Amino acid sequence: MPGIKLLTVDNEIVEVDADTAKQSLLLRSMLHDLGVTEIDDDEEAISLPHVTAAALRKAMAWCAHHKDDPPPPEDDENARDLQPQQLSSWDAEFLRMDQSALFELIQAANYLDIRGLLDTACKAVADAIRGRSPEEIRKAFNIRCDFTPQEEEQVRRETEWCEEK
Amino acid sequence: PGPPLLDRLPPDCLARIAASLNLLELARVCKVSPAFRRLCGVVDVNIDSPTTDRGASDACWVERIRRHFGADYLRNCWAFVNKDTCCGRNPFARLYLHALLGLYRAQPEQLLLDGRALFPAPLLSPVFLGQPLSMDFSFVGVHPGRYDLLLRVKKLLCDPLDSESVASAADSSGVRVPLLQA
Repeated sequence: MPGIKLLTVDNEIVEVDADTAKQSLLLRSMLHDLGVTEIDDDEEAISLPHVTAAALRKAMAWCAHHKDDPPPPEDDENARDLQPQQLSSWDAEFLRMDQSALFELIQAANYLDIRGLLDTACKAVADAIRGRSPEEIRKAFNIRCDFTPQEEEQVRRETEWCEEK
Repeated sequence: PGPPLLDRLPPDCLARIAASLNLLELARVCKVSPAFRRLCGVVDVNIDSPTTDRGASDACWVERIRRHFGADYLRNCWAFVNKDTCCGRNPFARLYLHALLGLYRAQPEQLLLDGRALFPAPLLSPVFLGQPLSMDFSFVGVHPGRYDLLLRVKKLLCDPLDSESVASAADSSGVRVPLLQA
């Protein structure tokens, strides 16, 4: 099976299947421009300066699983609304990772322009937010509230309408 | 606490996350931290597609905003959609603007033409007064596909009015909205 070599930001060379890699619009375009079709020991690896090896492997694993999926709809707002809201069980399990890794994967999907993975991973973040109180969200995302008292009051006023009475 | 991970994500990713949340969830998110609050600054509230899950849900929450503000609904909405908030200081500016547009949409055109007194407060907004539309609305993130709606609203409600007749409408309506100069 033809493959290509990719050099990640952490200086690791990852060999990936060319067909799988072409689900990334960035890689598809680069491969086309460079005329690269398969692994060649003399061929220089394609540099990906914003992607870690771990995130690249995860992204390629997702692409391999979804290689027979129909192409995602055009990236407009209405099309986004029509996409299923629920993650498939495979995707949910696949994206079960610590947040740092998940955010790294989102950045990788964004850089590599893998739209399906980007949407799926962003939905996973939304799922982690959904149904939680602000305090629970802080805990889940391990963040502290750094609003000033004035900002906090402003936010309270802006969102007063959603408080249960 | 670890680093604010959301800060590392580009705006398009934040928009995708926000697009999966309804207005109530976004309102909760706003209270978490400034970084999370920015999520609400990128969402484009969708009340124009009531047949989709997201559109129906947003329309429901816009209705809740209406009920919350009651008689002061228009005044409060426009208070948020003023010059300051349009410059991006209030992430809910879009929400209120969309809530107002939803109200316009619910009215038959003839009602809008005949009954300007129904909506005196929006008429007073500098947003609708004499500025180029692309400037007026691009900074609150209205989808370009909706410009036709905005143009229609502007044509129906605002074009014939000068600042004098606007002031007069304000007096007769009993609605007290600060009249900002365009």
